[in-house]
Amino acid sequence: MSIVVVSAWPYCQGDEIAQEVAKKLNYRALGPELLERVAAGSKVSPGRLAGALGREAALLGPSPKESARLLAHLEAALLGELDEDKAVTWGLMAHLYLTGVSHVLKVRLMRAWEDRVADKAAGEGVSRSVAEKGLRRQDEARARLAAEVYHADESDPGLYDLTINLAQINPEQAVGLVVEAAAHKRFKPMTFSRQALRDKALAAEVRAALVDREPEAKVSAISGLIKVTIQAARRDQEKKLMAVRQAAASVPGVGAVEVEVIEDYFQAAADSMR
Amino acid sequence: MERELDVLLLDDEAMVGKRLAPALAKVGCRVEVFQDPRAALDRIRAKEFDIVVTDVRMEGIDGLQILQAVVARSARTKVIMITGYAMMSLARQAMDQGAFDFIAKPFTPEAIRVVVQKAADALATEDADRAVRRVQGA
Repeated sequence: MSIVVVSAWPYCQGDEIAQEVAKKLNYRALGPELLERVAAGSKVSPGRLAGALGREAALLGPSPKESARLLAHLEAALLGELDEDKAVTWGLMAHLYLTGVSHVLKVRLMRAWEDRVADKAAGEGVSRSVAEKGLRRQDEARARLAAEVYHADESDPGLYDLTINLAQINPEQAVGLVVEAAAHKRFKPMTFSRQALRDKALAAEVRAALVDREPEAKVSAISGLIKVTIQAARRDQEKKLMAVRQAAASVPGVGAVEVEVIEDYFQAAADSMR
Repeated sequence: MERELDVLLLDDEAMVGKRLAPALAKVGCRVEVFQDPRAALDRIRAKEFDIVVTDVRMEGIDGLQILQAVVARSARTKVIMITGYAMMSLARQAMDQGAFDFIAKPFTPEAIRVVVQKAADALATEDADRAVRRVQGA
């Protein structure tokens, strides 16, 4: 019983195909409705969060720092839901952070540009040129997010287990392919992969707890043991170390916490010039 | 466990056998411990085990080759892979080739007991299904 992540750029029929896959497999469906919960918890509008993910066209998206903060909360929210397998998720950029877990099947849907533009124009009642401009903005927002927050290129086929070109394979056939792939023994959960997912979920919780105070913190987890790496100028290191350790330890499920502090030379240089 | 299970445990580190064999014996397993993969392979060819627990990275013959040998000998035997070098690609390869489970070291004896119990439950279910099919076929 795998977890299926469907990744699709806007107007690539991702929502419809993912929901149909969930129905056919009788799996839980975890889609963009999660954005409302995350937005409420982070005190931003769902539209702003959706804009950060490229789901809606936004003239002025969030800054990279705010995007990283929002995504930290989104990751924690989604990974917290995935303790059971048998789930299909889409619209939440999970292909970028749900990595290294062998029972996660990652699917990429692709569609011809002209078809995407035509659907956007028809769906929003706008001209073709307006639709094209808006779609380009959405695609660019996604690409920027992937590059800035995850240092990833979404067009890299190595991110996915299965790529489907909807110009050649219709949605019904695509659903069939995904359902068949999900049943393959390569995507069967095992003790190792379940632990990897639990570790990722715990690390995401800790990161969400730290992101406001330490936006650049890197967090990893192995069986309840947390490692946090932060940057700090020498004079702040002790104080930050204590604060981070306390914040991380307060997350349920955390055992020991190790904090590694890397000297922030730029901050030190800036301080010396005051 | 409902009946004693025959388990072969293969790991080139002596400590692993010393820790796990008593832990598995406590829950009703008859455990044969091997450090040499060649000797283990000979034993697998001679006897059908219920469960084989094997390390992956060993000198000469690796755990995937042991898995292949077990699967070729008996589709019934459950193979549990254990490794200190767990990677997603290796895990998928093992599952593809028919492993029952894949566990990263370090793990506690309790963790391996849980997995062995799952393997025992799967064997009991499959054996029962096979018995029903035999009766229906008769």
